Amino acid sequence: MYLDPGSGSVILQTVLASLLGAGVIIRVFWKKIKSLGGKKNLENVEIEEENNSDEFDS
Amino acid sequence: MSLTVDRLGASFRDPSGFLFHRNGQLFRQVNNVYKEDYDLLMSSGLYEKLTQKGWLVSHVEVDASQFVSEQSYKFLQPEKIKFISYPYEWSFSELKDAALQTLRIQKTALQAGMTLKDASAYNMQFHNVAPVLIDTLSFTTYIEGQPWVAYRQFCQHFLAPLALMSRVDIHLSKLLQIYIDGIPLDLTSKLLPRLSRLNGGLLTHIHLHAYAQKKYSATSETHTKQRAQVSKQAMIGLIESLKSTVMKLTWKPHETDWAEYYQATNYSDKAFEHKKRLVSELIHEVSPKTLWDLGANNGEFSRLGIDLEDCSIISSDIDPGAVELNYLTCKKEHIKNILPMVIDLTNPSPAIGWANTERQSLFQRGPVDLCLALALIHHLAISNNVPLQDISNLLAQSGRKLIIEFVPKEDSQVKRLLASREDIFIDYHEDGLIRAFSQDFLLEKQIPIEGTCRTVYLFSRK
Repeated sequence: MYLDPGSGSVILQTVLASLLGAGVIIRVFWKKIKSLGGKKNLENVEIEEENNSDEFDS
Repeated sequence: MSLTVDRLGASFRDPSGFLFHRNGQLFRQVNNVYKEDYDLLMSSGLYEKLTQKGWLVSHVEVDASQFVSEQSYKFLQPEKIKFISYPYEWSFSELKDAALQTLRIQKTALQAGMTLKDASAYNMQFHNVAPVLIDTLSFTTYIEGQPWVAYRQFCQHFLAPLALMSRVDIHLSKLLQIYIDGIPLDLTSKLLPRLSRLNGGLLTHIHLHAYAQKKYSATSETHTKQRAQVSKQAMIGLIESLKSTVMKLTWKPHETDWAEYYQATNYSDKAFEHKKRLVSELIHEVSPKTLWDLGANNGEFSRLGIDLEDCSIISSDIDPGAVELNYLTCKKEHIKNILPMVIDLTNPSPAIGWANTERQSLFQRGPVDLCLALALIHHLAISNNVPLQDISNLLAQSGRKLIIEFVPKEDSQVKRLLASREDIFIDYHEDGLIRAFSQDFLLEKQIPIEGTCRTVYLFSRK
């Protein structure tokens, strides 16, 4: 590591970690629930997640 | 015996390797200390995935035994980027797209077990009108639990200027020129309006971030490292949060300004079409490999050169709104050989950074084969009092050939500029222009634009 990550920046990340991690889990879970409602199977949802995970919808 | 190489001025911070020129070609030395990371980048499929998408500059490994040293592991020849531009020269959407591309790359890297060890805006360059990462050595092995080392840099290089441009004033992107490692977050926090704290992303990544930096500035690094634990899920959450914050930041010029960009003021349709045909014919006659349209406005005349194969076009203007419109048009129409840039010709980008060699001045990055200066000279000569001879000197530094549209005093645009001031410009007329430019250039053509008092000139540098 050649950059100084900065103590404050690292500490902020650890504080945010639990919130942000939980947010990701909730989003994935919510998408799965929604797609179940739409009668898609879970396997397809996982494949879609994988395909879309590196694409931003911009 | 190995030859010593001169590394590029900007290539000194990262011990993983450096860039150097040899016989007009660009090479990258990968050092032994980066061996494991480089091998993982190439073997994990990450390099292939990113280069296929056009997100990372491609390279070929070359045999360069003459350069081998104790430090060196491999030598790469990267794909050539035609023109290097800097974030303080980009429009709002150019900086925003570069920010989002950095986050996409980081997310893709995490999936392959790697992470970006830096997130410098200078590592992003525009290639075929899309931002591409040019630093192949930016990736390192991801260790679960480690925080994102480049989080602070991302916020300083991308989020802070975007927030200031969007929420305070578009011209604040120029702060990047003063602060070479990005705009300090405490300064950004001070400059942003109080209401920006209501935006969760800005509250977290700018205001709380600035507060945390101040509060923990005396905390020892080892202590921080021992405590820091950020799961992969949380890291993805952080990237998503930054993405969402960046995407919500918007900027567009006032609607009336946008309308003005479309109007070719002071022209009848017929005269405008004649000017377009004339300039197009001259551009195609010169058939340049590099073209710089100075004072390009929304880039309409730059786009006359899009059918020229392999011609790289720089389309610059002082007005961030015009450049924004130019970039959005190029994106929408998939025009790949134009780079819109915000440039103030009366105060162009200087050479900055360590020893003034990290970032090149605008003119160090030239000259080009052909310069366009359409309806520009009167702004420089009359609004900025630059003598015609000095304008000629500057343009002679910039291009080998030159197309000028001269707007005389009889034209309403110049009358407007002179309305509020004394006319001290006794040499500002066609003969004065030819006389001043004849010291640097040969006059090749002189064609009046039908239905106007304006004239188009083609000059060739002596």
